[in-house]
Amino acid sequence: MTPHTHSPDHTHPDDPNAEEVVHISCVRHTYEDGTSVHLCGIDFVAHRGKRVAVLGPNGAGKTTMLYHILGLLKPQEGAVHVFGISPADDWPAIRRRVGVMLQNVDEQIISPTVGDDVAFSPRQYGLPEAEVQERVSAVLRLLGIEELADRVPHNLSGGEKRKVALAGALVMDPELLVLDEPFEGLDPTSRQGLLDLLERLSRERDMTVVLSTHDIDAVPEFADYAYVLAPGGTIALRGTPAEVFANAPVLARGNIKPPILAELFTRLRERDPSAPATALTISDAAEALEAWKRSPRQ
Amino acid sequence: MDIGVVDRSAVTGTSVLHGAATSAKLAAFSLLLAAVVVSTNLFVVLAIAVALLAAVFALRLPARSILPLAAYPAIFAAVFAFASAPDALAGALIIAKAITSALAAVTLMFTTPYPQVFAALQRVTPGLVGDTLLMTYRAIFILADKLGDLTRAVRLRSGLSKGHPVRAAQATTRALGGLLLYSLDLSQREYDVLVLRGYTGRLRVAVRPSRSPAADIVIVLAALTLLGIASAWRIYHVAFIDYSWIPLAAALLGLCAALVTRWRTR
Repeated sequence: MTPHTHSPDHTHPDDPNAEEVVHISCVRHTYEDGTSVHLCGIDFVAHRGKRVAVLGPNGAGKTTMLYHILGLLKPQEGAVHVFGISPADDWPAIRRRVGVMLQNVDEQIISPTVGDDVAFSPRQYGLPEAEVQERVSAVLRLLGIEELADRVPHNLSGGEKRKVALAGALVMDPELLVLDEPFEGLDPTSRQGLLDLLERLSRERDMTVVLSTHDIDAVPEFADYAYVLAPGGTIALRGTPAEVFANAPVLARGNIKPPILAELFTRLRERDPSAPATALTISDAAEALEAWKRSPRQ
Repeated sequence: MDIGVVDRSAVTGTSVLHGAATSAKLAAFSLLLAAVVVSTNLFVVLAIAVALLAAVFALRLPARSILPLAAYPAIFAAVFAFASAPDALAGALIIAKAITSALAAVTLMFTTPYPQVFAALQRVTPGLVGDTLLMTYRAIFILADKLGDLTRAVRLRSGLSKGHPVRAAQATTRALGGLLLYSLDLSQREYDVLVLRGYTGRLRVAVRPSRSPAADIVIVLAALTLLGIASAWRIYHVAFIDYSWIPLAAALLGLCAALVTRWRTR
């Protein structure tokens, strides 16, 4: 994996020229136990080539939102469109364009060896075996896990399983990648590696990435824009990471703590008003502090 | 038993049996089962069992895992034999048949990945049946892990304390109930995953090619020979009865040769 060198472009989600890949408007779903999730408020939109983070407390409806995008849940109210199609009604029409990594990767790996598992989708789509093998080798190489090809999945570590599941999601070169809590259980190096990889894939392949996460510190590094769900599913906030993390009251309602860098700069400004406003990534913070150090103090 | 051991052996093993075509192994397995079924002579059944044992040792399969598994059915066969066999010889025949059949099945399990077996069966079963068998593959491992976690949790929370069998039984029953509910949820989630990954009503499994077609023929011929011997002793029972020791002696010689080879190349 290459070190992280590229920051998200933070294109605003309201950009009218961008092509919509996912659009969710005011969806409601009631589970069998009576729990209701109402994903309403602001429409959820993910544009082509953008990396979108979904934030919110436990039970807010992040996974419910992703399941609607994947057509696993049919909206009881409202509408979901992925590539202009309702996924619950016509999933086969778009399934080759969508890659998925669910929260519990153990349940996503279904074959006796890693190579077989990554080859599952291309074989289901009836690709010739030579092309299947070519795709499997390429994606294993991309993720740096070629040596796992003949390994038995249930003997792998959590991080390795996550990479295998991701390989299975990427093997068909999807245009949309949906990831549910992808950083959960990863050590810091693997987490950074995954962030770099997703950033690179999104940039090089113009791939849209929608992910739910509790890893707030990953959002400024990764996301072009973010959505914040309040308890109950209300989509309370949308914007670039800087806009989102500047809205302390909404974040507090959603039990979301701002990234540690944002807190650091807030404290600095409390002590010295001439301190830089905020910076959300390490490189931005380094630049801002460097500039502050050089600036004449009053 | 750690079912991961079975799977690891089946997937990563390198013996001649591992490299053989699944269809050849299934054919040999069927022939061996037929041999056991037609046999009415204890020595002949023992000869088949010993021949299988010789193969296990000669091919360096994990005998320590295979033999206890193959011996399990002996418990139930012994109960059945005790209840219904007219004499000790007939009882021994029932037990020997159970062990030999199990040994053949376990050897197949240890040398053939589960999906490969069911991919072969998929061709001759209705689509839904074949797919269902294949879908159970990962579920078995996930459920085994879950059962391990539940048992640990029950033990850590003093649910299996000594001296309270009723309480322990209640805790175990609750844990198993939880496992059942989890398995129902799991089946739905597994199905969802398959659909997301391209399942359209027929699972496609790439059949592993045989490493050596000649070995496939030898495996099938060996099983066919055993069936021939079993059939001959069944048909010409009266004429052959005095020579029943010959197949067993031959199989024992083979076993000795396999053990010596294994010991010398250790």
